Amino acid sequence: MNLKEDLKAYVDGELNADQVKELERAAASSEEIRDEIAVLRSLKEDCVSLSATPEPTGKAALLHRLKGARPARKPNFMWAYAGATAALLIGIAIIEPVFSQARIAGSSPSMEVARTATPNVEAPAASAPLEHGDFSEAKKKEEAPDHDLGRKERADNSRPRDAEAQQSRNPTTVPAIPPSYGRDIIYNGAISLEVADVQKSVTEATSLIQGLGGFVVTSESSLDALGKASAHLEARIPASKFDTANKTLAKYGKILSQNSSGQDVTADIARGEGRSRALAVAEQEYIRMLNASRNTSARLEVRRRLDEVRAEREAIKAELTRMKDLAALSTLSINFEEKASVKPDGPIGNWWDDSNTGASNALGFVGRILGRVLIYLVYLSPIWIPGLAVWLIARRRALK
Amino acid sequence: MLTQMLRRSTAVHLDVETLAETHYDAVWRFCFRRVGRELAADATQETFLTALRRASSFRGDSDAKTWLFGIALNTCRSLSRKQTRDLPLDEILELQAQSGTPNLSAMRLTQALKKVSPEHQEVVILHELDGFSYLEIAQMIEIPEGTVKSRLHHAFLALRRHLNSEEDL
Repeated sequence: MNLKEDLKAYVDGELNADQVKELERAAASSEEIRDEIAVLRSLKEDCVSLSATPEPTGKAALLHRLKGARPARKPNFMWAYAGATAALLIGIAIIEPVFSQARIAGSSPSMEVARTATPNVEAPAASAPLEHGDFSEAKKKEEAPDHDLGRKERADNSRPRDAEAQQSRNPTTVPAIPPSYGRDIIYNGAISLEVADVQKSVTEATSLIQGLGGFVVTSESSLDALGKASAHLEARIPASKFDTANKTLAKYGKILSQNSSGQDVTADIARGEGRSRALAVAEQEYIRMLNASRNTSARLEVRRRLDEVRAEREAIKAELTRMKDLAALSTLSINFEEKASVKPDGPIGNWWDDSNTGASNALGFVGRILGRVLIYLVYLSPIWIPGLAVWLIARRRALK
Repeated sequence: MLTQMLRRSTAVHLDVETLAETHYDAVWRFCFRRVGRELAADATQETFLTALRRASSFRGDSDAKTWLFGIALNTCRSLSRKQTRDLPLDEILELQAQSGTPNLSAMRLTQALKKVSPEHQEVVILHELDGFSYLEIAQMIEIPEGTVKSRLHHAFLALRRHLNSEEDL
């Protein structure tokens, strides 16, 4: 207890009973304290004498004004916060599948759903270009864009909610590929179909492709979370049968999307063959020089150049083979998606399982969304925390 | 933020019209001591209009009267800043003189009050002239009650020091 500070509080009647008793005991024994109390009381009385004011004015005007005025509606920030949170969740829900799709498109085909990938390269023995062993390289390098396109298609088709949008879209009817007139053209195509029985369609398509002299490179099938089946085939078909294959496949079900493209590589092949011939001549010349030369260093130099020429010639030969292979066998990407069907209500057990699965999925989805929101909030905290602090301070001051 | 939302959800209904009926005179006097006669009515009107706008945010943490005078205090501060005016102590003194009971001590006290710091002036006027308790002052200017007590003690020490120095002259 600070006695001096308490003296003023005592004079003001702001001490509790115990403090008053203690202070009065001290005052009883100290003249100095009593004098101090007297001075403070005198000063307080002088202060009170300053409290006189004139008669207030303007009351009637204010009351009149207040009668016409309505109190400001309580700003319901809670709804605003709830709305903002809902908008954020909806926004993320919309954006999230786009990112997922992008991830699927950019990653290996084995991602997202448990696919039963069965690489089914049924290359016919008679297919000479494939025996060169450069098929896989060509597939990796040159077909990559189309392959990615195929994956994107698959990603699209694996999402049930996109199926409706795709159904409403007018399927593009691909014009028949014109005859090549002896030119070397690489044809690529993709067709996406909605069928009643995916497995049956896969079997029929495989037979069709083999019957046309082609083969299936990749066959994948999957089931989505709702049990809807889908399959993807990647096939190589003789260029002359490409159009027939497209037309026949179109009859299997409802076309969701279809596209095809062609790349004329005749000039590239001609240039490559010309260069190859020139290198053959150079090779013969170097061989002749090698045989004629007696000088060791000169022989070594000729030998080095001969190796270079041979290496270049082999590279050109491989490239020509690859291009001719691609031109000879067109690539067709086929997607089958099971037609959505309304299942009749099953027994109570199925209903219970379906509900459980649905609720579990919904919970997982909400959890993912909340986790994502949390991560965003943490990462963006250097931005929003100072902003929030400023806003709260400003609001507090404004509300005072 | 959640706490704030919950608090706001339990906001207390406040009838500003009734407040004005009851407290208009007190608020006017309160404003007079801070902005003078000329602006007192304006400051009072602004106080009640602000109260009307913010009635929905009144949470009942403090007494409605304390809340209202808190608004009045801020309104007067804002007006004083805009007008770059000091406390109208001369007006108070003039009023004292016009009342026909000239009080020498009051005149000297007014002069002394001019010399103390604004914080000390504020608590002295709030407590001695406006008659607010320590707790009410603490809620109004948002400082701990102990600080109000200490500030008043030191304000009175300063006043006495200035009064004594004047006596010595």
